Amino acid sequence: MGIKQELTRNFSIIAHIDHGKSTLADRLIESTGMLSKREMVEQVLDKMDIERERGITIKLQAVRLIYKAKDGKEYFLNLIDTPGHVDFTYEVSRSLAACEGAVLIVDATQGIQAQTMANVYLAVDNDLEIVPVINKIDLPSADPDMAVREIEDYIGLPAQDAPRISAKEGINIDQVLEAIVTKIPHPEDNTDKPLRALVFDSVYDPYLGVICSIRVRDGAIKAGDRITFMAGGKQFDVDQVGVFTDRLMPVAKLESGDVGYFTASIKDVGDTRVGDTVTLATHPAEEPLPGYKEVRPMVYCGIYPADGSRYEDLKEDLAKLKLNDAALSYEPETSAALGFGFRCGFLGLLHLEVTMQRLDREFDMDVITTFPSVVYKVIKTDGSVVEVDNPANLPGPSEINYMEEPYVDASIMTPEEYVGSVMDLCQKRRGEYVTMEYIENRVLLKYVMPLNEIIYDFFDSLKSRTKGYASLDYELKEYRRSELVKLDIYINGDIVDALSFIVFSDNAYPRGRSIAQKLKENIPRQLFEIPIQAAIGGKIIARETVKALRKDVIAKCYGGDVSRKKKLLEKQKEGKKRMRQIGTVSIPQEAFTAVLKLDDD
Amino acid sequence: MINTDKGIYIHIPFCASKCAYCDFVSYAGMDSLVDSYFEALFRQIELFPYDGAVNTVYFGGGTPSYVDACLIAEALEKTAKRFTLGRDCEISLEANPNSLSPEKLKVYKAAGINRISMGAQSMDNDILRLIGRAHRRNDIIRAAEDVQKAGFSNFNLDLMFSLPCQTAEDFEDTLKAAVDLGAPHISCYSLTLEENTPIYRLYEDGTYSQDDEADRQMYHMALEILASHGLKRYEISNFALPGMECRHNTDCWDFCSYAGFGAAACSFLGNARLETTGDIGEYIRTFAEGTGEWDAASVLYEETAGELAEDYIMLALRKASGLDEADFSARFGEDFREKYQDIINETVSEGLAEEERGFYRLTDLGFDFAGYVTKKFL
Repeated sequence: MGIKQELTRNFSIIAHIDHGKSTLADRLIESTGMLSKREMVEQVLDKMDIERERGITIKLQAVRLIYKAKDGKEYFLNLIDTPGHVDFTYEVSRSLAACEGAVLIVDATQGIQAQTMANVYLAVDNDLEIVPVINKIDLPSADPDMAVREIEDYIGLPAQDAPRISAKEGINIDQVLEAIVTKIPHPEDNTDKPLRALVFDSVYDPYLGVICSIRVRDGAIKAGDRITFMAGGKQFDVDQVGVFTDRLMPVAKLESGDVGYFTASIKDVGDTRVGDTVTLATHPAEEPLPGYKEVRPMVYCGIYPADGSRYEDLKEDLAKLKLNDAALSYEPETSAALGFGFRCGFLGLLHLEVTMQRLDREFDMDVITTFPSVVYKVIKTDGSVVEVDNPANLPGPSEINYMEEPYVDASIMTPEEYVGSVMDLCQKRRGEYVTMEYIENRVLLKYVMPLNEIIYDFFDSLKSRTKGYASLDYELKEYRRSELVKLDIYINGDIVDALSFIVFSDNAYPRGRSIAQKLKENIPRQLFEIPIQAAIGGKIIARETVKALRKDVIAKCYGGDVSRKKKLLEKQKEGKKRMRQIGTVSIPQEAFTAVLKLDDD
Repeated sequence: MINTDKGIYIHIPFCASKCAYCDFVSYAGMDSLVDSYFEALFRQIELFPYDGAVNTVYFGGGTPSYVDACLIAEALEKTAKRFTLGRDCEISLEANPNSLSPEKLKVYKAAGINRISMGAQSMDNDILRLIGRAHRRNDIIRAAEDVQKAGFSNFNLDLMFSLPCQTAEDFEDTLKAAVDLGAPHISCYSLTLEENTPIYRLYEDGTYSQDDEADRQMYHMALEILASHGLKRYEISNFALPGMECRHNTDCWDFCSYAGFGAAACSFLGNARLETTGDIGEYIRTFAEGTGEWDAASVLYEETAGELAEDYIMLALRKASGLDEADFSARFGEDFREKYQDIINETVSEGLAEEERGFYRLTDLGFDFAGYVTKKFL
């Protein structure tokens, strides 16, 4: 056994959103003295603005800490950060697979949440040693004993001696570091075997190409090696290997047990899929490391520039996002209503939302999105199967034998008092009850639900019914046969392709009505009356009317307000520019957004 | 300066109380500043660098009738000293029914004021209370009689509609009462909700609501009732017996230049607009020293030819007579018909506008959509 392995610990921190993961990471980095306080930005690991704002981490990354333990030895602690949301479960599992242990943070005020459980299961699946930590003991509402009981009762881990800390106040951080060193096993030394390194992250850098974060399981990797991605199949020559300190620090080689990175002039993050195994082209391993899975988008929607003339800009922006986001997919599509845009695929709704925000924030790109859609399987009368992620591509009714839609296993953790309301919501969204488990004064509900219902405003409804306390986790389960119909929207007699969507047939009527209503509220009156209709295959199921505009006149205008009144008119006209023309009707951007936010009841 | 028909606007930003819908620069409870404000005002008028013939003087507010009538007389005297007031100069003063008195009217008359514009707003006491007006129906009737007794045959009543809780019947009663008072001029417009006013919040929170259908019903009713009494619409919200139109405002819609004095006053000097600070303190300080320029407290916006043309169209379309195509071409060196052929055709075919003998004007229907039509030209 190499001495280096004995002095290395590879670990992640797992927690529910807001339970203090990033704050603890900061404290660990501070306490190990690797960075001076002056250099510490508020949250070292969270690189992007959005992450900081939403309190979640999207792109994962690692950092190496040097810690002098009580036994007098100096340890290398590789902290591997994990993304914090349900959409990124696979990425989390790969990050965990790169570790021997995980620090589990439980909030002393909130206890265990659905996501905590989900991540604990992932950690257990990866055979990790779990080190529980009770955080936020400084808060008046903290109940550390409750947290300990919950960890022992529901996760089955002894937690009596779990460090009780406040990451925010920096209390008992040293206990966490000691627990990491003493409880988490060191990596095995398999240096003599052929190289196998797990890719757990990849980030594009304009100078270095793709920076691949890896955990070396077997063998060693150094600059000059020719390597193969075992699943992806491509070969590259390694330019540089290194470790993560406060920057990328090149080293001579990475060997069994190490966490670090390599670069190899790789242009496309798509070639360096998370979960893939890197081996030497000259001396390859026989088997890749287990657990690789091709991540496929689960949710699709159309994205169009709000200003139609910015199509080329949008194309460039998506290409730039894609550089760092292998999970994002997009291809050009056209809509009669919205012009030129893209059909984009996402891991889930949050991934979609984060992408929209990045477009807005990093590229100042204002977009219109269409209804998110899941991937339906259409079994045609001729026996062939097509996958449909865009209602526009749904074959005609005569060609369809039947359709299938994806179902997920959904876990919802909610305070006891909202159980009834949450169950009601799940029931309304075609959920099938599986089990219910009481954890202290909270309940873990399990349902099997169509994904279609979850991407449809489910999370917002769940939050509003539980005053924000419920948490949700889901995982794709299977495809099931289902009665689905395509709902079309007509405005002033013209079909608006961007508003069509596929819906469970029993829900078609209420959804049709609700959308017609939303559109009515969001389409400004025009000189003529505008009928809005929802239809299934030409049969009208709902109708609303936007009444004709009765006036558009500034009541008075005298010498003192000429400039002001003109500005008012100009502003109104500016608003008009952001409208989309459907036939003779102008539809504001907000109308497209409003229909995405349907109130459930 | 293109036009020599200069108008003078003088802003008096004081009020007894602030109305619930008002977002003008006007202050209640600032009486202690009145004297120094007028000192500054006199100074600003004296500093104006050009003299010349003036056709109209207009005291607006705030409530010009709220302050000591002698101050108004003095301001007018300073104006007459700085400029040459034409023999038939129209000199208007805005007034509130409850701040007018026979004594004040006597002072105004003697000073040379020949037109009173009175903010009546409604003849319904409940509605007056709701919109925060201090006067009541009886005050309006008494004041209108006083005005006429004092020898002002030329007076206006401001009336508002689309007011909180106002029915068509309420407004009909107001209109009829106003014409019964013998007003030769009536300004009549719907309540515009301005942000940061108390009434705006009551509409925001749903206490009141405005209905376009009812609004147009009231407007069309006003058109009919006033016409039956000989008051013709000459601008979107202004109605008068023939020859009794407000010349000051007409000049403004005709794109004549005017100079504004006082806090928050605006000037239009042919190709530039000036707006004086609305901060009374700043205004007083600026002119207390007495040196400097007349526009020392003003911001200047020079307008491009294109912006001026847009202003011109916006204002011209408000007039019943419409836009004089020859005048437009003379001012801007471009043929109106040629430049805007598409918009003209479109609006004519929509039934919103018509063209007749060199004038492009809104139809009756078009008057309900003046904003819609104007926006096409911007």
